[in-house]
Amino acid sequence: MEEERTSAKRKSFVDTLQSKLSPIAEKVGSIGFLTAISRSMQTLIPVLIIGSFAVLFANAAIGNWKAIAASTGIAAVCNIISSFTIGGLGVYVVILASYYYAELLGVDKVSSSIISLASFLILTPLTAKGDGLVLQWLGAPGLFVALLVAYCVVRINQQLVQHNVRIRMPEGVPAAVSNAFTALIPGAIILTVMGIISQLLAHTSAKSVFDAMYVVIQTPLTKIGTSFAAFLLIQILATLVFYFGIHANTVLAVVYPVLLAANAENLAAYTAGQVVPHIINFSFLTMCQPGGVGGTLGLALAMLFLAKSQRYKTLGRIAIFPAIFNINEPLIFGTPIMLNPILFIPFMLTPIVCTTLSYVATATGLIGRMTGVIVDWSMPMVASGFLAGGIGDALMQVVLIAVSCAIWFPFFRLLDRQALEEEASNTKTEAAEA
Amino acid sequence: MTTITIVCSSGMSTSLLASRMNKAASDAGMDVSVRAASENAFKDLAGDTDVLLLGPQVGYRLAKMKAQYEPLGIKVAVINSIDYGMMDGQKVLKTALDMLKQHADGKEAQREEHRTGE
Repeated sequence: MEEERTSAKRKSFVDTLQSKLSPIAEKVGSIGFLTAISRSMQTLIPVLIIGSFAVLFANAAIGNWKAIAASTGIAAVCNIISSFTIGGLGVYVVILASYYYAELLGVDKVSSSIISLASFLILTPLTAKGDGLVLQWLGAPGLFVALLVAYCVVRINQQLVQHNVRIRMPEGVPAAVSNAFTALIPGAIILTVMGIISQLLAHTSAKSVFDAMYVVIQTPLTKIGTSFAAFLLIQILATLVFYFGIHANTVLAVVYPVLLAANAENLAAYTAGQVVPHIINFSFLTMCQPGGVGGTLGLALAMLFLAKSQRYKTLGRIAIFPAIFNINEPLIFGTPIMLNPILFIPFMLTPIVCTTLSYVATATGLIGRMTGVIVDWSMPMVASGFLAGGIGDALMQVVLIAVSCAIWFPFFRLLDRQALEEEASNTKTEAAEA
Repeated sequence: MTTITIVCSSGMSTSLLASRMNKAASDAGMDVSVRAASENAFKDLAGDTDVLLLGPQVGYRLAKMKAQYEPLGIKVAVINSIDYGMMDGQKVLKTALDMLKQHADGKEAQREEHRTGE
């Protein structure tokens, strides 16, 4: 009876907490532009992976492969692929971010992304001879201009359409034709403004929006975003959000642009045979949360091999395969970890310890810095470490898995014992009733 | 044919549940198809969806999704988090089909609930 009452009390507490937190999550989730960034990055990751693997393939330090790749022209093929995938990051982002943002605001998606792309190209400075664009700005260095352009264009477009600044076709004109003209006036206004900005800046010492944004915003933000303190803070926030059962994507998306820019800089240095500048980059995420947010791989393994209760035996078998790919919803909701006061400790501790250890190991030179090759967080550990950094990172990930096991194990013992007692008392009541 | 769509933020963990629900449905010989999608991809799937289930991790979207899709005749609910975690395809399938039944015939649904209560 007593137990029932406490569990009822806990349930109502959980309900209150969730009803309080839901609006916050809803609000963060509805900061449209963040959602647009997150969706753009998700869409782009396959393209970026292809580009970074092309670099890896051309530069793999196996025997004299590098010389062979260079002499046979394989390296040239790989380089052109990477130049226009990773090297075109800004172009892809300006198209996608405005597409998704327009979709969220209910503005015409295709015309918005075309106007954004045109604006981006208009703003891109020309080479000194004036016979081409300065290519570097189409890549990661132009990332923040891409985001700024996407935001402004969609917003302005929305305002203009809302205030009916458009050509109205007489009735009877087919919708397809009149739609094409809808974008004409907003497009003309936006592109004219962009053209004027571009030419005005070309005559000042700022040279272009790109130069200005790069120095004033992108460089400091990349410095902050790839600093250990800020990165750890983001990991903690993302984990905390997931503890309340809310998906961590939106929080992590805030740093994706900065992290991907760090990858591009690392890759450029790696290709040129220089020391890579950033310890923290997008692929570094594969070190921080073994088995999914909360570093729950250790819990999944403990369940699979050590569970005595029927409940956790079953869950262990369900949870292990997704866990290998760093997906842990079965554990979060099945254990449940969500809002479980005892499991709060290992859930927060594992990512903090793993992030710190990996950073320290890299900073002290125990393992090499990651080359900038982009691997997604859903790639199984050891493989992801090997591809992102090499043998050292792969071995480090083995250590991290052991750390996750060590932290989760005592807590799992506690949990399993409780479940076992519950199961025993359930059978007893059933037997008594029969 | 009844179509159930389950969504989470990326459509990864829900696809596991979807395959288990499909198996439960085909084992029981039901004409039901279950698919998983990311939350933002759902818009294009709304047309032929009868029941929309949200993973608990996107449960906070319930009010918005309800407002948007219930007028179109789609039943919307959040999946019980324990059922979701245990990937209990059978139970989630039953919940989803019960929602439709309640919609079609209130009394029938009540009787059904009574029966399972026993």
